[in-house]
Amino acid sequence: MSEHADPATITVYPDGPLLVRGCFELRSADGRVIQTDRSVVALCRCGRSRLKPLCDGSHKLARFSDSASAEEVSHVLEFARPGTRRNDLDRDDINSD
Amino acid sequence: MTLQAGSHQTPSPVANPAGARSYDVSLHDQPVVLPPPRGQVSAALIGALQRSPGELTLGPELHWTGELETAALDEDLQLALWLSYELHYRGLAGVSDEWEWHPGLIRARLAWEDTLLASLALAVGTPDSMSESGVESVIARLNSIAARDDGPSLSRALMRDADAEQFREFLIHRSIYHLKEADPHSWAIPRMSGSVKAALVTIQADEYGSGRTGAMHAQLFRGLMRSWGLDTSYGHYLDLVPAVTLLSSNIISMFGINRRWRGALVGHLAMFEMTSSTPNSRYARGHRRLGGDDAAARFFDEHVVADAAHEQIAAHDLAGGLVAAEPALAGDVVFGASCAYFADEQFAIRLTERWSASQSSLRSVGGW
Repeated sequence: MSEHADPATITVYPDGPLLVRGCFELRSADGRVIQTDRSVVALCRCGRSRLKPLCDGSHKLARFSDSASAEEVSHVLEFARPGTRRNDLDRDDINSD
Repeated sequence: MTLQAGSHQTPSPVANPAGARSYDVSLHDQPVVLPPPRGQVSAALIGALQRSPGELTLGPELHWTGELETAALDEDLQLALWLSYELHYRGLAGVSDEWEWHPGLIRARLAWEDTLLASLALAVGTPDSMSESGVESVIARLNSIAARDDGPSLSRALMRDADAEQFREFLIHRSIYHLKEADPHSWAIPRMSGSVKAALVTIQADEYGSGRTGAMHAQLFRGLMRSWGLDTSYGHYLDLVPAVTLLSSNIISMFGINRRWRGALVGHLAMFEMTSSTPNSRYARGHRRLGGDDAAARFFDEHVVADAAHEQIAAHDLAGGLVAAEPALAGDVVFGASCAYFADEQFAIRLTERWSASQSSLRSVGGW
């Protein structure tokens, strides 16, 4: 990796995985480096991949649905803002169970 | 080895003297040997190609006169198209490079393309009928095409049922494309710019192994073929593959060579990538079930992981990005994706039907 390489970015794709680009190193739970000889990798977001943490396309068979739309992530964007109180994050679907 | 000054000892030959590079040309593809014709048009074309282009005018003998409904799967037409496109890739053995832009041949090819396009439109709908308003609806259309599950599943057949001979047949069909994997879609690179180009090049860089020869998908496929005891030279099996196999390649070449079809080319690539990960994981399981080795399975394993990322980039950043930049191409993008799905479906039908009847899916070679 070049010292001038771009910093890593992680992008959420609708109903699909997370795409990691830039300068990154992917590690297993025990700290070993997962070799990925490419500039972009897709990380599983649906939990169904047989190759976790990598995506293998299983989200489509599982009909994984998360549109990652601006409205849906607004609470997350809020979360990232300093000073957000925990109870601002309360959601109906959590509280209703 | 050290040579002492003043000795008269003759140095032994040095294969790679300091400063000189050694080149591995063993993977440089050779032009494709002209196959036997499959009908009047390909016979006329093959006959012409063996002569000097300067002295020839081509006329009605290159006119294809079949029924439109049969064009996509017509042996004669698809071979003529495939040979005319191959002049732009690795070339044809014993055929003058000047044929590549021979006006008579280009005129004939444009007519064949019009026929193929009309035939495809009959099967999948016209680009105009597929005009979508906006990026989101184009991506939704791509997703719904990719999610269709109405034809026979070739990948499940290979995973569960195919015998070794059928698996070998599958690789023979696919060698027509995979030994030049990604090349037809690379025609799109000079036609794109900005973030759309960046998305395309991200995909293509993986296809070409990020510049490492052994990691190029075409070379991974070559290793896979070798592990199955197949001839790995480029175009070796041309005469054995039927029209439907040539159709898959011809559609991408047609969209690739003609800038006018850049939207369809991008839609085609998006559909390729969006329908790749799961089938490749099934091919890998079939390969291992039949005793295939892990090193050779890398071709499939690589596609599972790479295409899981590519499908997102291709649908959202490439196809979505192109439609955002050129909204008028929306219908072409969906058309290209539909054609990719159609060709894949026809290919699956051919192989699974033949295998169900205990027949080979390859051509029985002999006259026409």
